[in-house]
Amino acid sequence: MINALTIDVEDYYQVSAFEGEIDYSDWDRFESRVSGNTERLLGLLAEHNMRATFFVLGCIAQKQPALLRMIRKEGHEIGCHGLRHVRINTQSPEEFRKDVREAKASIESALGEPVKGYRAASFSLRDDTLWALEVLVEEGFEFDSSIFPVLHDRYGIPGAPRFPFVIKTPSGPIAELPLTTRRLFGHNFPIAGGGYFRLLPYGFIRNSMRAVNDQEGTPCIFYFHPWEIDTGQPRQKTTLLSRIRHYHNIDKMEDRLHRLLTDLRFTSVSEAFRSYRLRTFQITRKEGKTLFEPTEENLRFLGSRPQFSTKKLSVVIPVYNEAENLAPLCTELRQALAHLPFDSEWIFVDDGSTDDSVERLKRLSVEFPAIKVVKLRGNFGQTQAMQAGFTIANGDAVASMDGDLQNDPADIPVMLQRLEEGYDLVCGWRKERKDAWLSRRFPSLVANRLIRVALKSTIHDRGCSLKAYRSELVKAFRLYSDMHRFLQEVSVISGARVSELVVNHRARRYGKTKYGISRTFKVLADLCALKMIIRFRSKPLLGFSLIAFPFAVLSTLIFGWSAWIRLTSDMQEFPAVDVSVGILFFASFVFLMMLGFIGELAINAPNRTTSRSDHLVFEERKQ
Amino acid sequence: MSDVTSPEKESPAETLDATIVVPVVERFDDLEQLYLDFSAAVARVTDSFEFIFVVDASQVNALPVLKKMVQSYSGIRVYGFNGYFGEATALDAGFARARGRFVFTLASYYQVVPEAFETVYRALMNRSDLVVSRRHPRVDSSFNRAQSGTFHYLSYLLSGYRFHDVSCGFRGMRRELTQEIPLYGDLHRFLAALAMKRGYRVTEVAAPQHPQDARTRIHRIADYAHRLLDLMNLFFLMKFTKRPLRFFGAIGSSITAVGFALCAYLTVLRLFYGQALADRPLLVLGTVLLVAGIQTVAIGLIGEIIVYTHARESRDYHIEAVFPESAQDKAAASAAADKGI
Repeated sequence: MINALTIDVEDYYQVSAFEGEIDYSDWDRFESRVSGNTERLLGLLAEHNMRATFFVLGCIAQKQPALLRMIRKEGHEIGCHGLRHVRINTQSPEEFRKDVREAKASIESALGEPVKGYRAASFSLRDDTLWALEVLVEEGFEFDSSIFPVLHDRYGIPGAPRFPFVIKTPSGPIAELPLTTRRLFGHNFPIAGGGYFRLLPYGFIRNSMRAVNDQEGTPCIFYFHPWEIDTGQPRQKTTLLSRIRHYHNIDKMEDRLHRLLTDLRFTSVSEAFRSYRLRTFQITRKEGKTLFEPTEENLRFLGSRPQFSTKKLSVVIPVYNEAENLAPLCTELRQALAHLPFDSEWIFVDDGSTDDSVERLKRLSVEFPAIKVVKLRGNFGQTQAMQAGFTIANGDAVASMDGDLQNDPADIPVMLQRLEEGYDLVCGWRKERKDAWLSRRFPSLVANRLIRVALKSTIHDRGCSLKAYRSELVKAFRLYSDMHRFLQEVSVISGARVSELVVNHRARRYGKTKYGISRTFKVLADLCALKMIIRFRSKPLLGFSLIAFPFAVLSTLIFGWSAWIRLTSDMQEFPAVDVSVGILFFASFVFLMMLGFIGELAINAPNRTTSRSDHLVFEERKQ
Repeated sequence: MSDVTSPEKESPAETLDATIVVPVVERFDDLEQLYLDFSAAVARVTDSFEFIFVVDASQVNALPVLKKMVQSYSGIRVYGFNGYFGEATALDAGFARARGRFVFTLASYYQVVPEAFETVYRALMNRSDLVVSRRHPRVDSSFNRAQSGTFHYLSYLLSGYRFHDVSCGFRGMRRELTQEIPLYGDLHRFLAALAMKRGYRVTEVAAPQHPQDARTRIHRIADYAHRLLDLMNLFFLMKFTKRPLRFFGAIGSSITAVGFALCAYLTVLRLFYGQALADRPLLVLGTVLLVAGIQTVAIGLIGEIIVYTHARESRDYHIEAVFPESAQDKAAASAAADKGI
């Protein structure tokens, strides 16, 4: 997973920690070191071949426009950090608008291109300054990264969502990318960079970021400042707390950054969240508290509208007695796919429904011409229904989903976007499952963990039907039995690149448990089979000789031992039981090797062609 | 007079209403009388039908009379094997040459009364893909009924499908079904179970038993052994054709576990109680079980590799219809159907 790296470009004397000691009017007295520090950072990033988002102060853009152009030339993204690092909570809305407008204009005139991102000085987008978002929308910003969802004396909204979301303001929506926190002991703990990165042990920060990536499925948003790698900056006399926050471990910072850039991957904000679905939230105030309430809308891309090379999309939806869900599903599909620049067909595969699903689909197809219905002769299970749909599908991208409204069609465009990044298979990950814990989630959790360890797999959720495939992949494999559980591994056999994406999951209206204790043995047997197939499907003799080898060794040892007994003692005979055990082992070795040859024969034998059987027939004819 | 035709040739077009396939394999009654009785029954329902007799090499005695019938009646075709292939293959050869929209199978001796044809035909019209008949009411000996009852109960336990008379050779089906279900060995007895597993609608109707069929049948020991093997085959085909390791793995791992426990027990005796193992046959037993179990699992693995290798040609689902129909979809569906075994 690629995280987002953000750098707040400000000089050592411009920070909020010193605003009591240093007035803006005095700034010119200080030696500007930001340019040199930023150039060192650019070198560091180039060395690791990584991109970042630089939030630049408007006053720096005015004085050193060449620095901005240099950053841009290296391929980084540039955002706005305000004009003079004045915290929002010390400004009135009018002052703030003036500040932001001037800063944005200065940066845009230095770059000659629009600026879309904003970060408030000292993360000062707080409970009392949320009005600023409206101003940002009006001033033309598309995303903001200023909320720190922690408890802190200067900044922070502890109750804000921890992961990127979209805020609806009266003037329009804006994407908010909160700084990354880790959930510890029921509190949000800041791990996202700056002082925390300098003050806390490196291993803790790195492991926390990995945990956010792996367990929560989201990229981290990390920040720091150019002055943090500047050991030569003139020291200020200030309070002890500010001294610790500003100077502590500043000498170790560059080393740590090197390690971090080696251990994790980073890119700019827009790039990191390009294919993420962001939930939309509405802000309301209740009894003096700010509440973030999720709304139903949940699709927004950061930055530019994605470009698709797809020409046609096939959505395959197995249906088994889902009559009531079909109409809402079609409406949702149309909404979700409406703005995509290509055609789609929706292949509903009726898996032997006993209700009127097929008739309803036929009626719906008047209103929704994209509908295609494949009626199966009986109930063959979801995997087979899906496979039937795949053979009919003729889009160059294929998506599969449940027909029970648990999957959200709005996720499909996001998955397609991920396919465009060069993947062959994108699996949905229902991170927040809306199912019963003990009967469904726990058994599938255990099964998943078992499979992940045995197959060294990275996929978290094997049961999610919501997936997107390149059509070549769909044509390359053929699913049988319960193979859907191992779809990722089966795809990897074909050389597919697999990615995983967190998707929305909604409560199920009805249905029954698929996992259970009785399934454990089946899953185990399938797992063994798959391991064998993955490694030895094209060289079974090798596989079986590996099983046979221990028997050869054992029988050799036993024969040697018997011979040694016979020769060194006075016995006239070989020890009968020992020798017979040795013979058994040897016979077993031979048997297993023979099986290996049968295996070679099985995979090399010509396929049965059209001939039904091998008998010759003569006919008695009329004369 | 006789000419060898290849079984690979394209299936003929549907030009008739009904084809009645009569495999002449085990024994036969007066075939001419049988033909006259049943063709009269068929004629009451439809005029457009044909009879196909397929004669196994074991029943060459039937050929003279059949040759005569070919000359004297129209709508009869007779095919013969030069080797012993059995009933399933005879049916398969007949199916491959059938021209009827519906295909019926009929024993070459009187099992049911000719009037039963109409019952089966009506059931077939009434939204069924396959109609099998059971001889009922039976005029048979109670011994026959007991042995057949046992067999059917066992096959119900093993397959989960309840049928009462799989040995009754009188069945009717849509032609597409004959093209989709491979028949070999003794599988014709389980046609109904195989069809149900593929999602076809199967019904069983009662056909009155013909008085001539009422003889006590005591079969050879080998026949009973064959039926037992058939049952095992049915069980395997119903449950494990796609996942052999589940079958072999369950057997193999339990055998291995017992063998391992025995060996562990002996090891403890040897190490902590100083007992000599040299003269204990239990050690040999433990080793044999250990080895046999591992070999069983290994066979299951071979099975898995075979299934995986052939997965592209087989499929478990069966498409009934695509809507809206386009030529392209039809082609894709039929291409998929061709790949199925």
